[in-house]
Amino acid sequence: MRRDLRYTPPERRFGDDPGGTPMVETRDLSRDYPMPGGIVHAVRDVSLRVGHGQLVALRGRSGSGKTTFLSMVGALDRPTRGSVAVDGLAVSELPESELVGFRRRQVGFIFQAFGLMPILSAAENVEVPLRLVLAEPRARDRRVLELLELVGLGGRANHRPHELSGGEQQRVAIARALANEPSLLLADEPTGQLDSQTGRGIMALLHRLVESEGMTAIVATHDTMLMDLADRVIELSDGQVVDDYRTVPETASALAAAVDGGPIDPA
Amino acid sequence: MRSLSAAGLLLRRLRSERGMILLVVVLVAVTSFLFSAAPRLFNRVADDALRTAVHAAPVAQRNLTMRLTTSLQPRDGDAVAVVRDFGEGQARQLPAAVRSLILDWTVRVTTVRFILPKPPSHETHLWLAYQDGLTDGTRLVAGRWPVDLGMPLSPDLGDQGQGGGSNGGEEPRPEPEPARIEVALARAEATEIGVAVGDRLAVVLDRTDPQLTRTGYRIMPLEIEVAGLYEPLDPSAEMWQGDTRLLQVEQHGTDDFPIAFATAYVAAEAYPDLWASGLPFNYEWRFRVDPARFEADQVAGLQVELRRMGLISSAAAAPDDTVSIVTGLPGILDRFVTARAASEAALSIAAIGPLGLAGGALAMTAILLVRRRAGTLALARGRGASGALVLGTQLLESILVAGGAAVVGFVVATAIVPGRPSPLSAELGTVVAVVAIVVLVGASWSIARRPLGELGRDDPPVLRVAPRRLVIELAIVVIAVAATLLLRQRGLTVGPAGSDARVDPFLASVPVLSGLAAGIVALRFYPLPVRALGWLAARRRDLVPVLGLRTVGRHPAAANLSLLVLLLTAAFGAFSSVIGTSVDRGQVTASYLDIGADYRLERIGIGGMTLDPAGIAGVEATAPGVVDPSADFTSTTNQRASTYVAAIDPLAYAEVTAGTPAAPGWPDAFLAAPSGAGVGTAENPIPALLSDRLPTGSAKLRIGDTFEMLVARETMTFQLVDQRAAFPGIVGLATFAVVPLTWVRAAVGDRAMPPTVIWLRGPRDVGAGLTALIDAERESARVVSRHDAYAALHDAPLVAAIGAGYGLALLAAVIYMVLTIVGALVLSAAGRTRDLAYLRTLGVSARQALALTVLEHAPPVLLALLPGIALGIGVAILAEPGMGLATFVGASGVPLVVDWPALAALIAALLGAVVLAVAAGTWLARRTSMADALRIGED
Repeated sequence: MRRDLRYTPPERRFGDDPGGTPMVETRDLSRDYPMPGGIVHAVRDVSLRVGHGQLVALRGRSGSGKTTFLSMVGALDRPTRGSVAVDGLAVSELPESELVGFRRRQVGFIFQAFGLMPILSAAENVEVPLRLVLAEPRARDRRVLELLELVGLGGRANHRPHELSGGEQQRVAIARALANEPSLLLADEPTGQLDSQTGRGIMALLHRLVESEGMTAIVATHDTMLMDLADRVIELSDGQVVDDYRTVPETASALAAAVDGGPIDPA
Repeated sequence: MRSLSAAGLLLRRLRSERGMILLVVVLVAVTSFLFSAAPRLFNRVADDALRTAVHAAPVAQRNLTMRLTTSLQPRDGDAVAVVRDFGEGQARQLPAAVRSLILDWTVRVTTVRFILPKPPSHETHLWLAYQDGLTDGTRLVAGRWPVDLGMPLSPDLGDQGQGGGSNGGEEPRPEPEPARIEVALARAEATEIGVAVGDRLAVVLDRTDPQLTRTGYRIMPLEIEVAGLYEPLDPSAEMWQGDTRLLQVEQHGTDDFPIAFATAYVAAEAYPDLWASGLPFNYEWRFRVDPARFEADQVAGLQVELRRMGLISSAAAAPDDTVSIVTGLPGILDRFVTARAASEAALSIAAIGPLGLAGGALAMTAILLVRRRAGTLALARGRGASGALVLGTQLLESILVAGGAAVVGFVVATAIVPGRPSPLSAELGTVVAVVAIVVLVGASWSIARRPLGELGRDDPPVLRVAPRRLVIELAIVVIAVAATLLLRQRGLTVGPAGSDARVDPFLASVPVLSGLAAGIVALRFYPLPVRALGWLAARRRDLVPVLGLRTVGRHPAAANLSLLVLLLTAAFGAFSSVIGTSVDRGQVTASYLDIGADYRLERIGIGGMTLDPAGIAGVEATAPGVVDPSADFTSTTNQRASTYVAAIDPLAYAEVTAGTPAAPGWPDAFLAAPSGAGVGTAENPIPALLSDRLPTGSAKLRIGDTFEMLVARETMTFQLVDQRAAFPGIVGLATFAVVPLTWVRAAVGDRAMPPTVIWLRGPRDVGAGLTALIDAERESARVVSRHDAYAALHDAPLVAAIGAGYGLALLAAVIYMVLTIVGALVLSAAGRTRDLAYLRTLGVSARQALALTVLEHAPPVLLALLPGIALGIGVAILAEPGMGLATFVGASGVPLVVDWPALAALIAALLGAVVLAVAAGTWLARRTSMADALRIGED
């Protein structure tokens, strides 16, 4: 049976607190890239709402528009049409000077390539966002250790990225993203460079952090095995939302616990 | 078939990377062109320098004069044909290398010396001479040219003494009819000795002539008749060979008792009449060399031939009837060889600097090229290609690309650059090609040799240096120190002195080697203070200082190449500046010490001048002086000697030379006005300054002692107040005395004492006014210009070549430096853009990003520039004794001068180049959007 690709507005599907302010709200969000062969519509008319405290998986094949969508939500890129609001703040309308504060305090990024500074140690990488908000040195050092402990790298604080495994580097990147307690975490293929076992561990960690820290996370991934950990799965194809559904919370928690505790039993 | 497909693959790869390949080709071709062209240009400069040196030398020095004292019997017909034939025979015996330089030759025949028993004016001695071409080089101003009167001058076979003396108490014989010879005189001579056209003057043999002292020649009475007067068309024309004896009287004696030595011109046809006397003649064959025929590469052979000819410096040293050859060519060639060796040394250093920097730029380009290919090469290794195969492919490609480019550069240089070919061009072109190939292959070494598992990983930042690398670096430092010491001790040339001496390339590379060593030391140690600063900055709350300092302090060693190149460029620039400034200042100083002021007006001959140049536009100050080149000096022990004395108006001379290297720094006693009675007596002696080496017999003279000198025809008493090794304007004299003219004038009382020398202060254009004044006043004086002396030193081809060579080398060095820095920025641009984008996702503002860029670049740039400047000055100080710069200054030594404004300008220019390069890199980084930057390298 052919699937209906027409998008259903979120308020009619997952209207979490329809009267309240969603964590992320996009309206007719589009991003076009002029290319020699014509205009490429990377994201087309995406309108959706993401509630507070959700772990949203953004799935889709390569080129489906996941990264472009995340870039616009995180105000790294500006939409060609439409708007993005994060926690009520119209980030697509803000000037660059005001976006600096938004990036420092309200959003955390996690990248497929980790994005760590190679000349800095794990602890020094984590302290970068804290220095940007001029954190008091003692509180800053405490927070760095706390975050490294949180991601299980308390003993590797002085190691530099090339001395860490891929999974460890991504954990450092996660710790850095969490440094200023952002309300929104955006992760672009965070397990893309990791083996499946390590990848599952990272996803479980994200799930646990969302639950424990009360933040919202949008994770772009094309790994179908990890979809089950998310509270909600949005699928993009050719820049459009083609599917949007919730998972069973108990299943996600059980999976996360299983991953934390050891290999998942396929059965 | 396999090789064809490999070649096809190679060509496809070259096509796909044509931008980078084009950069390599252009870099190698331009470098090869520069280094292939340099020897040809130097050959051209050397030829020009040799020709200029020969041309500028006094005519008598550069030409060859063959002399013979004998009596050649004339033949019928052409009176002096026998003299010409003899000269022709001698010319054929000259070595081919010497003969090829000769343009033409002339004959001069001179009699022994006569004396006028009844001189019209004052004591007059006279030679009779015939010279080829005199009638063409002069114009007749009175009378006509002399002719042969057909009155042979027979020897007096009787016992009659010369001048009509008695014959021992016998009846006096009747006075024979005197022989008569027509002569022409230069008008200046005629005026000086007081004769006019139509005068007949009796002459007798001058027994004081050295040629007559040994033999009792006697001749019948002789009269000369002045048939005409002439004036030279150009007294400085080459036909006179610097010999003015047929143009003016040589004055000796004193003002009160002058003695004239004149030469009168006789017709060639009169030679048989004179020959009939049996007297000896002085024959001269003057061979005029053509400066345009000199080539620098023939100098060594020419020197050997000239030595083989057994030249003597003076004809007087040759016995009679022996042909002697006199020329100053050996000295001219020796001086040229010395100057050329010094130029080669200086230019070798100038050339090796850019060569090292070209290597740096090429290395950076090669690293860029290999970095772009890293993925492909890793893939090739992964699919089974061995490291040796990868390196072999790179070698083949490098030979094709770099070797071909080097050949193109060499061929173009050979085709379009004027100058004699030099084997050095091909050698240097080959060096460029080999260096390029080695660098290009070497850049692939790490990828070719790295274990397969490590391929594809970024180079981690290196904090610890491998022991092997440390040992290599230490070896470079030790070699550099040893080479610097060697250079200082032995100079830049090896082998015997003279034309066989060659520049030692190892020692010529000392500046670059020292720069490399200093760069290694600086780059090893500079992270330490930066890390300490980073540690301090970590205590702050903000990000930029700590991140910037940590980035600088922990930078990967590979990124240091651009800093090393910057350091070397700064060092080379500072070295060039110090050497160039020192040579220039040395030339200015030498010109002042040579002339004594901007201008020196000096009297030719005896007597003083009545010129007053103070009114000429542009003349700022004048100082009169009276010079006696051979004053009688009597020491306290009553020993007599002759010395050069300059009586100078001290205050006026101080004003003329104020602020210049010629400023005399008078002793206080000179500045005091003469006072008291009996100035110049033992009771009131005149203060005097003497040379360090005292006149003969006065070795025990001490400061405060008195001595006597005959100045202005009066014996005066002087008191030694100071001693100097040299004094401005007094050159080449072992002993001299300088006294205050004001005191000397006070000593002579009312007697007029006109100046024989006037020193002047004024710009270059005053010279024409001074010459015009001399012409207008018809004064026998000449102008000597310091500006001309400076120009002669400064504009000499070899010196100008050094200036131009260093300028071009510095320009090339800066271009290579910019290329290297831009290459380094391009190399790091992708990573840096991505890092910056990551930082901006964390909330780093644009302003913070800019501050971070400044902080990351400023300390390394300053830490490269400042030691570079210090290194350049240091190497100049160390290398100067071995560079032979004194050759370009005309003095015994060159005090090094650091031109700080010029160095500040150099630093500003280098900083400007760096800032431009960094700004371009930053602009490129910011142009990429954050979203795009974060995708870099993720595919």
